[in-house]
Amino acid sequence: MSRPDPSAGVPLSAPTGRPDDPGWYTGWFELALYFLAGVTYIGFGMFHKFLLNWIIGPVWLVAWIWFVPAVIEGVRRRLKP
Amino acid sequence: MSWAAHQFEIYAVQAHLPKKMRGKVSFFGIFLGDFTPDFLSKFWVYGITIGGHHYGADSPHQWHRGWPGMGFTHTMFLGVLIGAGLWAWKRSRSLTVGYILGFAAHALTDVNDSVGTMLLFPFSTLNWTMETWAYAATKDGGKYLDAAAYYSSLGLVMDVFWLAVVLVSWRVLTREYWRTQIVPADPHIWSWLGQHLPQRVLLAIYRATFFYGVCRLLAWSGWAHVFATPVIEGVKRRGYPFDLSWTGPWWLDARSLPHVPVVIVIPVTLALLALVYWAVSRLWEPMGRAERRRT
Repeated sequence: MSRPDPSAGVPLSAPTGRPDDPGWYTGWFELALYFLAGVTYIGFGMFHKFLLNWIIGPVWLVAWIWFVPAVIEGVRRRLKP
Repeated sequence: MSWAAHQFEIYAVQAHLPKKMRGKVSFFGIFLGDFTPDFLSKFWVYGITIGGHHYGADSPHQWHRGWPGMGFTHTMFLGVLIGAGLWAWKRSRSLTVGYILGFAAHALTDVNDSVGTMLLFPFSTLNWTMETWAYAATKDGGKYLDAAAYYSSLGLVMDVFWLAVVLVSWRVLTREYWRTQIVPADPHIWSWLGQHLPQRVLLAIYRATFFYGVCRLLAWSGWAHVFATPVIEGVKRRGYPFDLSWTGPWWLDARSLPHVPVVIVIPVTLALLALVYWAVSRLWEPMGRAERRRT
């Protein structure tokens, strides 16, 4: 944790440079993930209000940020010749 | 009661720590402190209906903020008591100070609704309220009516105000801030989480409460003003009407409890806030010395 942050000052269009992020995972992509997580949560939450609680809300975001890149990376690897 | 304001205020507290405390106060402590009052009392306010039978408080506002009731959960007395307990247990000033600041933010913000909080409990069981908007949790209306009333009144302005405070201090949400100010204050928790999760997920965990605040603000407001079809005074409407007047909205009876004169609430609340910051600021170094002696 005390090591210099490789991602500090990296532009949004570049890969984040963080050790666990895939090479294609840029700042813009991450921003889009946050946005999509928000839009879907609000959309579902408005019509299924049980979703709007302090457990599901934070977990929703964390799940998007954790799993979407992991799933995309898995698919990319599988499709690679 | 306040809604998303409680999610935003933890980042606002974090962003406006006294200079000597920056990077040293536990964000988890602030979160837990802010979270405790409603965690202890809120579930029974709305209750739960099973098989057509409602289990919950007969008088939600009395239960939530009154005495007798769980009103003591929204008092500085309990915040300091739990803070002292945390200090005795963990000897961590980072956690203790964070907890007390978070708790104070919640208890003081809630003076804005028409029920308010018992600021001087246990010396007085009178509530302190600004009557800025109507407290609307009722047995029949439940969470939906509460949300509709809050997001039709100055409560909405309160949420937007706290959101603006965080956005003005937007650096508090950045990766760099998290790395340099948040992680060093809770190194053990973050490094333990870091063994299991990628860094992007740790950052998402830190930002998650803010995310939830923004989303619940938009989702409940959207539902209340676009999709809900309430019948108010015999008229079916599309969306609940806005009313940004004091103690609004007009279409609902604001709940209240015996309280002190409204005119003294602002100065006393601000004085209490200043007292909390002064006290933790004065205790900061002695607590640090005690912590070092222990380690």
